Amino acid sequence: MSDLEISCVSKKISGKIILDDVTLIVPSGQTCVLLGPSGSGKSTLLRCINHLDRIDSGIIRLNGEIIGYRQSGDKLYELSGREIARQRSRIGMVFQQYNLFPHLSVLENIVIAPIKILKKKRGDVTDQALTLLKTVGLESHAHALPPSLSGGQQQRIAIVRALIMQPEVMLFDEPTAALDPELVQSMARLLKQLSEQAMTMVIVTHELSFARALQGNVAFMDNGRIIEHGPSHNLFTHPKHARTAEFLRQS
Amino acid sequence: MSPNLVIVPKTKLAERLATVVVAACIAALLYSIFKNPHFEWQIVFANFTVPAMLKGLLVTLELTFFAVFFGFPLGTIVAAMRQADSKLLQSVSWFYVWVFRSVPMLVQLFFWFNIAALYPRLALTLPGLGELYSFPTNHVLTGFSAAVLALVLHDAAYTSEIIRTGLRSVPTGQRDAARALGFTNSGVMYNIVFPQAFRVILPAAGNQIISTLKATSVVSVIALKDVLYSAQEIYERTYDVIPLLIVASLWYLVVTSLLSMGQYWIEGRLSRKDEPL
Repeated sequence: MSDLEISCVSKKISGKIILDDVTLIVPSGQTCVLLGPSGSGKSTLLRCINHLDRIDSGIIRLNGEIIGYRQSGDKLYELSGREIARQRSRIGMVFQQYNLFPHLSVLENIVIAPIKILKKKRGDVTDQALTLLKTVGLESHAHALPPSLSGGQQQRIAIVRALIMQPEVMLFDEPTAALDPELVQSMARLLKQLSEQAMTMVIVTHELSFARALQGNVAFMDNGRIIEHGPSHNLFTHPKHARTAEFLRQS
Repeated sequence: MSPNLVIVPKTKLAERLATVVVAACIAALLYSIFKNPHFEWQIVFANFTVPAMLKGLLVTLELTFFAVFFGFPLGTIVAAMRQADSKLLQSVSWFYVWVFRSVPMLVQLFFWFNIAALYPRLALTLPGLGELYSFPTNHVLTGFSAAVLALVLHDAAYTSEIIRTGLRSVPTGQRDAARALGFTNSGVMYNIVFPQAFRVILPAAGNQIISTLKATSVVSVIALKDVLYSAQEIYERTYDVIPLLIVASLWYLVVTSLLSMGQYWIEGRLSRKDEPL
């Protein structure tokens, strides 16, 4: 039972409603694609799941544990930086711009968190990192510096960097936004492999072809609300909501 | 189409001409330096390592050391305040940098040297307990401590800007990525932000230390015996103004060169591929 539960989450940024009473449950081992036009709040929702952005109301639970807050009576008190960091270490995140650390080699990018945060032994983590790099075909680049690699390569390293922490859920923010079209399909294949290994995933995208290729459940967002939510094939072939149909037609 | 044609690069006429002109200037300058008796090189060499000059050098180095030693932490605090959420802290930081960067070092020095006119006594007073301790300002703010204070406050204003620029040079995505992995705020700073900011901070900080070294020469106006004042003391007695100013300049050159060498060495190490942290 390691569901990700997002209940009644709302958020404003300087008066503007970004998230409007969002409720979403991602059952353990399943993939949820957050689809929607830019500015619909999907990336913000993703950043709220690991408390990189604060929420104004509502509650987010992973494995039953409230993210970012401690409940006491009818109040939620924000956790200390240390406690939030510990929760984040169980949530993997891959950013649109990858955000690899340019001053560290590929290998160091991957092993720094397990060594510094999970206090694992360097030798063990290095072996594990090299194995993971092999699965994405980048073992020969272990000692390269990230800026010398292509976007697609950096993306896969960012995924490995998140995976090595053995997270309970993986968050992907627009994983294809900076990739050329050819790489989009191979990224979809990589993510499907992860989903076959029963990784719980939330994937934000505005790209229809990518969302289709991923299968799983799709939540369509617009103006900070989830308008429609259902299995990929249903939503793409028989959208219930006019706004969804409009978005599908335009793309 | 013969493959044996010789390739002749085009002649850079202007550059050749400039080279000749500059070479002629150097020759003329060298000739005058060694032939003009007023340079009095023998006096320069005779005074280069006299005890008074070496004591002056020590004072200059001490002032520089204290200015940097206290100025950098203070500058870091000012930079941190600028990043704070509190508007008051931000404003205080901004105001501090505005004031201490705007008022010339020399004016600040006179201010601290004469602060006793404003506050004749310094006292530690606790509410309810009354005055615990008090002493005349002039006992604490001697020439040396007034100079250190002025240099530290001046330095901190520049240092805070250097550190702030360095921290801002690291994209927010780097902090996000580190936080998402589970680093605490201090872990993010230590492992990810500082190593990257350092490359931006270091060259500027090196320049700052060098300009602090040179700025210490203003203390000669409050009769503090640094390199410049020691040179002045000697030439006021012997009237060898130019040779003694050359002695002072040479000492500044020596120390600045040593500092630059240290800076280049550290920069060279940083630009190499990083060893594991």
